[in-house]
Amino acid sequence: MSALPLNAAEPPAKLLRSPKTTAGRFIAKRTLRSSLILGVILSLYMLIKASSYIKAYPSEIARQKLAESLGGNVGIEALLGVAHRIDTVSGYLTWNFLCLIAATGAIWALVVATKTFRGEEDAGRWELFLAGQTTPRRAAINAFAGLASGLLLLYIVIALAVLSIGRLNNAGFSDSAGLFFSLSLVAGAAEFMAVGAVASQLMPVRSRAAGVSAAVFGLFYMVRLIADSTTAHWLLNFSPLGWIERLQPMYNARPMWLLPIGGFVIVLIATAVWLAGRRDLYEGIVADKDTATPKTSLLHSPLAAVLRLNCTVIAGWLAAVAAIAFLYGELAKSAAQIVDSASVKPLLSRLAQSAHTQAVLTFLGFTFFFVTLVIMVYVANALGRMRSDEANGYLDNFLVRPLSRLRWLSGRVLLIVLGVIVACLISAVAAWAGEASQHVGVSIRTLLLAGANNIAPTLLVLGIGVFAYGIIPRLTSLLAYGAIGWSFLVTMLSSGLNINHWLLDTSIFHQVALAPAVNANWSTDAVLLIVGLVLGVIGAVRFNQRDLQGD
Amino acid sequence: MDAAIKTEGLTKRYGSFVALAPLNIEVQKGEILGYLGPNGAGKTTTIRSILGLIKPSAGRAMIFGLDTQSNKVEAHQRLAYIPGESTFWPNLTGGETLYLLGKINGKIDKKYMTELIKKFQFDPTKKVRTYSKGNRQKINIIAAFMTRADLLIMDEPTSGLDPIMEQAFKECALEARANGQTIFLSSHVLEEVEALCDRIAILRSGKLVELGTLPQMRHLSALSVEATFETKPPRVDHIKGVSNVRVIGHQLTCQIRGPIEPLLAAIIAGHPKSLLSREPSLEELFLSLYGGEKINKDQPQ
Ligand SMILES: Nc1ncnc2c1ncn2[C@@H]1O[C@H](COP(=O)(O)OP(=O)(O)O)[C@@H](O)[C@H]1O
Ligand SMILES: [Mg+2]
Repeated sequence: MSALPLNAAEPPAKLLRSPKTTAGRFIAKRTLRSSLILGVILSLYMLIKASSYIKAYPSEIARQKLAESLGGNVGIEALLGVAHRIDTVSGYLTWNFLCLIAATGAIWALVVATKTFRGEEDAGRWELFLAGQTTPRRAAINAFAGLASGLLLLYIVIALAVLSIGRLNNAGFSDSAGLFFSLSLVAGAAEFMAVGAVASQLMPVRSRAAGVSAAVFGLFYMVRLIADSTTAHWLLNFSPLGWIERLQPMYNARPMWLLPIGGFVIVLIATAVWLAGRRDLYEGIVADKDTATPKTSLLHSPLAAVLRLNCTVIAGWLAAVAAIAFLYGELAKSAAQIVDSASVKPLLSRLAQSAHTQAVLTFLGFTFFFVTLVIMVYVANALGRMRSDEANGYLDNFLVRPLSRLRWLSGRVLLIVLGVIVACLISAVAAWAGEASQHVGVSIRTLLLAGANNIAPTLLVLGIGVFAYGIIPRLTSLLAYGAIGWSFLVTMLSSGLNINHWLLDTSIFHQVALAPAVNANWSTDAVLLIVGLVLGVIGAVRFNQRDLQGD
Repeated sequence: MDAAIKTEGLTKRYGSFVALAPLNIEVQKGEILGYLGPNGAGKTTTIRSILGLIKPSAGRAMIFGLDTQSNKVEAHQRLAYIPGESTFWPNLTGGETLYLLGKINGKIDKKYMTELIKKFQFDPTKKVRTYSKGNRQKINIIAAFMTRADLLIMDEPTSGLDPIMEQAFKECALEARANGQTIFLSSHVLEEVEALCDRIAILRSGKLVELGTLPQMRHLSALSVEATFETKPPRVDHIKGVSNVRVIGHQLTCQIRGPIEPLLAAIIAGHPKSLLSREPSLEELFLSLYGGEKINKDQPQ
């Protein structure tokens, strides 16, 4: 006797439209959203930076002086790439943005590609795509088309910003140079989208695919960094990020370097598509044991399980924070010479407020500012993972059992808080190790205080995120990243232009003393903590009452 | 004595769309209640409201007298839930997953778990990402039965299982009832419900349209009548309550709702060779309820 299915509903018309392109359309929708946000943030950053440069150095002479003061400084070049002709707008743009944006785009692309090619599979959605009468290879090509649309949007947004910079007063570069420059800005994203796609075929779960592609990125980034900060410039030829620098989009453009970049992307995409057809769903090419002797450590409670399931991610973030803080610490001495020179002060006016302090401390203040930014991004990322645990249905497994929502949420939040405290302290120790290796002589106590000073603003981001999670869960990530991005933009803006102090006050960074350049302001920190706590409690109360929601 | 599940005006609206109209239903201790309805009828909405995963727009649900909104944890201690599908952590093995779920539940019957693993031919050493849909569903089933909870709430529990495993599932369900456990079984597979349930509730577009035992429900449907004649069958379509008349050669089939005498008189007047009438199956019952609606034949099975 056969069972009679009773679904009176028709299959959704959307799926009927063309099952073969479902995957592509679904992925395009997701990618377009994040690429638009990224594009807008990067564009605003460029616009502000460029206009403040033009405003601060209107004349040839002023620009010349800037160039002399910065030229050939190893510390800065390691971070931003070699400074060529920064007495021109185009040179300044290249130096400030090319490496930075290529790297930012690359990291975004890694995340998006592994999410698309591995995350969707982990969540069981890839199976649905394949059910739409399509082969694994065709689904992969489709997914690439979806990703490409995101990349194109990123290019368009960035190009619009660059072209408008070109129209500013005596910017001095043509539209075609601007378009080529924009292309090189998104090249990093294209390269590492392909890297992420291949890693996703190789590795059986997303976290590992992301780890592998991040490692590849780190390696190429180090190669570029060494090439730019030593005499071994030829090393640039061995890093896809170096090729982007070789394009020299704004001066003596060398478009032939597009060939290795394009080749790299095409070969990797072809490889990813080919590999997609050679493996089974839920398997990676790199053989991973499908069976394992049961390890029940850290599986005795939901909180411990979160720790176990996320330990690689958490460790990766802590390592990244330590590495960045160490690197900056090491650079403190050489970079301090520049910060100290009067001509840069308009650019770093907030830093200049503390002109009476040592230049090194000023640079370290700048360091902790960037490290805080990274730790805040970690918080936003952890909030995003918490939300996607709900959206993907993992949370159901806990909440249908005798576990209260508040206990679950407070456990998750506590873990993030601990992560933040550890990260802030690690950053202090690592920065100290870095500067101590250069015999700079700032005490570890000073740096630990500076690290601790960053805990409160970071927890405020957490509070904002939990608030969003309770009230508009779908926007959790967006609001957490938005708070960070907004604060960053406003602060950067304030370094070049006179802006309204109300506006300035909306930046979390603006509330924070730039320790160790100036003394930490603990009472402000306490206020930030209280605001964060209140927001967090409101969010938790709302979460306890609302529906669990998918995406 | 408190009912295993009791809802009082349980309602769920999404904007102006009513996914579940005020629902009043009681599931008695020790019974298996089938909760039937086509896709989109609101079965999952009902269950998620009862479990407190979504917040009812109005009304409330109680598990053994415990309000599931205000006493969620205590209520959940008395129940286990089998969802139609769920996401598990791809890099844990099946065994590790069962261990974790068991720990959250607190108390489980380890010996029974081992039995269930064997019964469902489940390999707990494999990582979750390597499991097929059916195998992932086995995790849900084993994890629920191993708790020996007083109440089992199931939302299309056999989706993805092959017929042998469906059979194993039925055995477990009947065993659970024999142990005095209560089962709330949502399904759109009639055969499963017919085989297991003491009472049946039928939900349609968010509204409870029928509730009763199978024999109580049969009256809803027409009786099927089949008669063969020496010659051409008599005309019966003018008789009140007769529908679906079909004539093939000398054979007449039709359905009758209401008093049967006028139809019988007409048939006897036509000198029948044979006469057969039977009770409707649950499928026919459903057809008569949803007769006007399209039935999607593309579903698997
Ligand atoms: N979060 C939601 N927002 C809006 N409508 C929903 C939501 N969840 C379910 N629905 C709608 O409620 C109705 C009942 O859904 P559901 O309970 O899943 O049905 P069933 O489980 O009986 O197939 C469907 O029409 C569905 O589209
Ligand atoms: Mg359902």
